[in-house]
Amino acid sequence: MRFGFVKILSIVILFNLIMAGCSNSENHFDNIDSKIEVSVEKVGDKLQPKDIKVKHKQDVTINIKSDVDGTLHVHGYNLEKDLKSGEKAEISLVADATGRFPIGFHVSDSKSQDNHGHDDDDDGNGHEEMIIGNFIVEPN
Amino acid sequence: MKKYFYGLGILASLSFGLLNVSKIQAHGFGERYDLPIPLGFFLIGASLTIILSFVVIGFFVNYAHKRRDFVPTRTLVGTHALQSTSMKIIGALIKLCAVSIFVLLLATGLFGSRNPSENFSVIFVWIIWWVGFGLAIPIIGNFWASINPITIIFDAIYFILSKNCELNKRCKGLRHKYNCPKYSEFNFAPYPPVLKYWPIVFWFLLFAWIENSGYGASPEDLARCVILYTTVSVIGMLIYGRDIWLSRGEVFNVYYNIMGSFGFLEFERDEHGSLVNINIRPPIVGLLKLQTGSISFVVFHIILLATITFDGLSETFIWYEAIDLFVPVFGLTGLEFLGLIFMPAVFFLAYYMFSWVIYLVAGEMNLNKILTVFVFALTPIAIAYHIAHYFSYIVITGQMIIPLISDPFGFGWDIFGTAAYTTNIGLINAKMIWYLSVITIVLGHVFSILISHVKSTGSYSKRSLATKSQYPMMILMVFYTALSLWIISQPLVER
Repeated sequence: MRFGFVKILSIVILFNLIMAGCSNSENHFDNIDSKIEVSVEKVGDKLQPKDIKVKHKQDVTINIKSDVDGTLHVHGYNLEKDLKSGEKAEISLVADATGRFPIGFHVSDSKSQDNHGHDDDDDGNGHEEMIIGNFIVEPN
Repeated sequence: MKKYFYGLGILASLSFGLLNVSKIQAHGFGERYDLPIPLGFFLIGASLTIILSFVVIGFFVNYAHKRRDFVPTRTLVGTHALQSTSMKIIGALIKLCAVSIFVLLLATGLFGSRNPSENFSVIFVWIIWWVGFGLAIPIIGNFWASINPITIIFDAIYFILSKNCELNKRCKGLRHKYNCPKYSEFNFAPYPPVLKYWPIVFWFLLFAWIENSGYGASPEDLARCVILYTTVSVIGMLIYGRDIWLSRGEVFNVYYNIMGSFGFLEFERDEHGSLVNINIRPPIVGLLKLQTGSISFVVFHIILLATITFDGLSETFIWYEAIDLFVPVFGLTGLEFLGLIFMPAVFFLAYYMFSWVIYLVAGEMNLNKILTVFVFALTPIAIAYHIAHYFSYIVITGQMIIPLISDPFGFGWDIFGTAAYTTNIGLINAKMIWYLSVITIVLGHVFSILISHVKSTGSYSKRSLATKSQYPMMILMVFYTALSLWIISQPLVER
C-alpha cells in the first residue's frame, strides 16, 4: 500500500513538473527588447489583432488605424487618443503595470450602434464605449 | 400561530419590495486587470495539493489522535479592561463611526452622483465591505458583530422603546428573581421552527444574484436595498427576538461568523451579545468550535462556497459561452439566476454523494450527522478561493475609495485633498498574484483536511473509523481545490 502511494506520487510529481517545465519554457524570455512597436487596426467592433501583448517595463509604441472617427481608451493606464478614420496615429507608453487592460472605443458619431457597448464612461454626451481588444502586459 | 403569519407577512412583503429594482449594468466600477495563472502554476498547485494531502493524512494517522483538544486561546483584552471607561468610550466611538458610515452610504446612494464609480455607496459596499471585509475578517476574526450597524440600530431602538415601557422597567428589576427574558431573547412571537435557517438561504441567494447580475451597481437601487434589508432585519429582531433573528435571519451576521472563525482573534460574547473578552488563538482552529445540527444550515454553507466560486466562473470564457448558448432560451437575468441555483445544486449533490460514501465506508454516524459534521471543513477552501480571487482586486480597485473619501457624493468636493487621486495600477505584480493565489489555495486545502480530521476524531468512536471516513472527504477536497485552481487559470472576459 505504502509502495503504491509512493509510485502514484512519483508519477504525479514527475508528470506535473515536466508539464510545468514545458509551460514555463514557453513563456520564458531571456532577451526581452526594451522597446517594442505594435501595429493594430480597428475594423468594425474589434481590433486586429485583438490583443496587444507586451512584457513588463517595455517601452511600447502602438501604431493604430481606425475605420471610423472616435476616441481610443486604454483602461487602467487611462490613456486616450482621438482617431480619424483611415489616418494612422501613435500611442507611446511604458508598460509599468502588469495585467490585462481592456481597450475601449468611443465612436464620435452618436448614431453609432453596437451591441457590446456599456455605460462605464458616462461622459455626458451619450456615447457608449465598446471594448475592442485588450492590452496585455505579462510579467517577465 | 396567527402571530407567525403576521410576522412572516410583513417580512415577505418587505422582501418583495427589495426585488423592485431597475436594471443597471454592473460594469463601470471595480474593473479587474488580472492575468489568469499560467498552466505551470496550475499544475504545480495541483501537485502540491495531492502531495500535502498525503503528508497531512500521514501526520494525522500517527499523531492527531493523541491530542484531540488543541485549541489554545489566550486572553488579549479581558472583561475587566473591556468594562473600563476608556474602553467603553472607544467602543462607543467605533459604533458611532460604523453608524456614520452607514448613514453616509445611504445618503450618497440616494442623493449622490448616478455614476457608480463617483459614488461612495457603490464602491464602499461592493469593494470595501463585501470584498475587503470578506478578506480581513477571515484573517483577523469576526469584528463585524461589534460594528454591525443593523444591531447597533436595533439596540438603540430597543433602548428607546424599553425606557418608556413600564412592564420592561419592572421586569428589569425583577428579572433575576422571576427569570424574565433577557432583552436579547425578548420577542413578540416565537420563531417558527419550520423556518430553520431558510431565511439566510433566501437572503444570500438574493444578495448573490444582485451582485452577479449587476442590480447593485445603481447607487439609488443599492441604497434602497440596504434600507429595506435593514428594516426587515430590525423588524425580524423585534418580532422573533434579537439573537434568534441574528443567527437565522441576518445573513451577514451568520456569514461573518463563519468566516471570522478562521481568524486569529476571538471576540468572545456573553448571552446578551456583549463583548466580554478578546482572545488570541492560532488561525483556523476557531472553525472547530462551529457546530450545526441543521441541514438548512448545511445548504446555506454550500451555497456560500458555490456562489463565491460562481463569482469567479462568471468572469471566464466558459460562462460567456454558456451565455451565448442559453440566453436565447432563458434570457440573461434568468440564466444568471439559474447559474446561482445550478452551482450550489451541483456542489450540494457532490457533498451529499461523498457524505453518503463516508456513511458506507465508516458507518456509525447517520447521513444527516455526517453532512452537518464535515461541512465546516469546506470553509478554508472557500476562504482561500476568496483571497486568491479578490486580493489584487482589493489592492488595485480598492484605491477607488481614496478620492471618494474627499468627494463621497461625486459633487466635485475635495474635503481631505484626496479627490484627485488616481488608481496606481502598478502596485502589485501579476506574478506575485499568481504565487499568492496558488499558495493560498493549496494552504486552504491543507487547512480543510486538518479541520476535517479533527472533526472526524471527535465524532467517531474508533480511530480506524475516523481515518476511513477521511479518504472520500479528501477526494472531494482535492476536487474542489483543483476546481478553484482551474477557475483562476481561465482567461477572463470583461463584464
